[in-house]
Amino acid sequence: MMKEGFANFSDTNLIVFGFLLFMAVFVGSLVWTYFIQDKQFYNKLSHMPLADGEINGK
Amino acid sequence: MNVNQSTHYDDKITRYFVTATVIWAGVAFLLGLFAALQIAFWPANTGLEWFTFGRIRPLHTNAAIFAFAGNTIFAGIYYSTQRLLRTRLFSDILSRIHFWGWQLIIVSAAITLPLGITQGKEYAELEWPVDIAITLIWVVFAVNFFGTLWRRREKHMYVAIWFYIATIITVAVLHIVNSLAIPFSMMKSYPIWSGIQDALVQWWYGHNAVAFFLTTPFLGLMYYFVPKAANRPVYSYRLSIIHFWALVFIYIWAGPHHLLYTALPEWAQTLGMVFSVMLWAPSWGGMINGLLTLKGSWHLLKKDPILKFFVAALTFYGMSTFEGPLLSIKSVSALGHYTDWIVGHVHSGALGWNGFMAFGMIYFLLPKLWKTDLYSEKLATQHFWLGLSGVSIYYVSMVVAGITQGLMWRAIDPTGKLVYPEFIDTVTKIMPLYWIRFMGGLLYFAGFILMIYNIVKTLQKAPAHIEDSAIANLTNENVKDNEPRRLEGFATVFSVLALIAILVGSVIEIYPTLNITKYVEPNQAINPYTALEIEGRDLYIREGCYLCHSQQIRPMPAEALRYGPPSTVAESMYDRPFQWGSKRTGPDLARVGKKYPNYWHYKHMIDPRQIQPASIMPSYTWLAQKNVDFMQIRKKVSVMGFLGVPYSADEKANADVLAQKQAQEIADDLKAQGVEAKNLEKKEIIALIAYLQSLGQKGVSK
Repeated sequence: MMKEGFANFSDTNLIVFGFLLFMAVFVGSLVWTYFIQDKQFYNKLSHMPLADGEINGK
Repeated sequence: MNVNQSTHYDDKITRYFVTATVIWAGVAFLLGLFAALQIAFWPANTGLEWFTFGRIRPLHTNAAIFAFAGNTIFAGIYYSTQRLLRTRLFSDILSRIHFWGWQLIIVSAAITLPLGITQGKEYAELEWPVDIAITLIWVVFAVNFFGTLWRRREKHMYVAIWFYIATIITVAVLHIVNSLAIPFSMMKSYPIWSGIQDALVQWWYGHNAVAFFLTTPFLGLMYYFVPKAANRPVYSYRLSIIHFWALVFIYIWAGPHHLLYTALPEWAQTLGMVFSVMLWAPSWGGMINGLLTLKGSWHLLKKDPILKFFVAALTFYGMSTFEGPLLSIKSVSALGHYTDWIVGHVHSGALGWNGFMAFGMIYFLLPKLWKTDLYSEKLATQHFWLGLSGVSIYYVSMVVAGITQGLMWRAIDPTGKLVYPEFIDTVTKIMPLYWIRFMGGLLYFAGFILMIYNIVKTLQKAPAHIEDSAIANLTNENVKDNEPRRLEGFATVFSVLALIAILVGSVIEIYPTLNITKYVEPNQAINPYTALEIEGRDLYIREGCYLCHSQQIRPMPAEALRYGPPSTVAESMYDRPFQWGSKRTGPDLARVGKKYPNYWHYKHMIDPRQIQPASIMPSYTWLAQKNVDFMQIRKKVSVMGFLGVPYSADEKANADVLAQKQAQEIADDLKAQGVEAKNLEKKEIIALIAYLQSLGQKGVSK
């Protein structure tokens, strides 16, 4: 079905561009998140809602 | 209360939005109950034009989406954004303009939709002046939000903020593109898109309204309020990042799954299906991330009604996002599309996911915003169980009804004939389930009434003067961070990336259909609607006929037997807006033209029970009483001509005369059949009959 869909898609350049961009960003975000960023930094970020700073809050 | 604005959060605006949320929730639920009753018990249509199903249903969906869910997300976003960024909102004045402007838009919807002033596009019914108002108020919201980002004290942007940014950017793009139209009067317009273009743009909008108005902002709220309520950090921050980017990239492509087996080009249908199936992964990643945030704290669920609501909401999110891709698979869509299965699916998301997230958030915020304790946790717990029972009964009844009717539609006996050739047989079969759906809605509403009581009693205990909460850690060290992370620290870079993410899918899907003639078969041509048929078409839209009748025959044996050959691209190429529909409470009308005489249509409109005793269609008696504005038809034809419909100079200049001539012919025919009415040729019902008789009759072979 995918093959048929692409066969009927008249603009090949758009398909390739879209596919590459999609894959690049997806793979890039995986690499960035799991291999480049350090765990401590994310640990700090994950605690932000718990330390959001109200003095006289209920 | 005078407070130093630079040292205090603006809690008042959150209180405003929470109050509006509760009020509009009640309105949306009551309208939903009313609409559900109208389906189960047709006399509930009242016989008054303003209260028929075709006008109440869009009011219900607009109230649920833009009034209830809209105010929920504004309340949650304004509360959490200030705290996550450690700063007061950018402008108190913009906050108030946003609040009152949005309420005014809702009120204008509540006035215009019952009057039949609609664009006839699902979830985008509001006409051009209201669309402009929505755009302006959304810009006010965006300036206020991004201004707050700009002057934040916390450099790093928590993931909830990401979801808010994506929401603001994408909703703006969706709304503007889908609302592009040329007005022909102070309150009415025709979209610049037509036929398959309009279908694709509308469902690109429609699906992503679900994605970016009912999903991403609520996920942002989930990532803030679930950790707050559980007093634990989110299970996996890394997973939340993948969740965000995968969702933003994939969701935007999925719209065409609403158009499977239609005349939309096959490649677009395939794209929509494939990306919808891909959505399973990020959606479930997000659900699991939310649920596992309670890991080690599940015991809290026994006593805490807020966590009960949040956990149930996440479970419904998981169910809906499993079922959505399932329904997007072509073979499943073939059975489920146009049936009540879709209605059940939508309500498991709206009542289960959005509703329960909103209720959990309101119960969480009440004590904090009004500086008092919740009146009764027991009542909140009872609300939860009533709500859960209600939505479960609603969902199951509609799925059973949908699958039952879908199977009956497609049943063919060994001789090759339809087992249920009379459409009405497939309706009467599921009538008990419509009553069960109504009962489910009543239970859900009963739970909501308990919440109202709980809120009133809580507010009675609140202090007369409520002080805004003070901002802690005013000298946050992160502000001096010279090396902030690009994604987490630079709002502009992040926003541009999010915009690119949603534009890629949008452009690739929509751009190829801009040249609509490319998809029209060379041997086919279509005559445009006559002036009177255009008028009739606008009446069809005004009465919301598209909410119960489709105009799109799918290429399936059962549909060919029941309705005729499959619909083509050419047949709707001049349709502004397209009227393919998404639900068949009544039969498809794509080829109803010339199937019955004019007299049949006349009698059917005045009293459907005279033609089909078991019919649940409302009576449209006013159509035989109200006159057509023939002078305005000239403007309509002129605007259609401007948009590219091939009318001759004579057809444009004498549109009113030509319309009157055709109306006279139909009126004469009706009179010959025995219809006695004064000035029959001027009545709206004549125009509507002209339109219905044209359906499927416009094609000519070259």
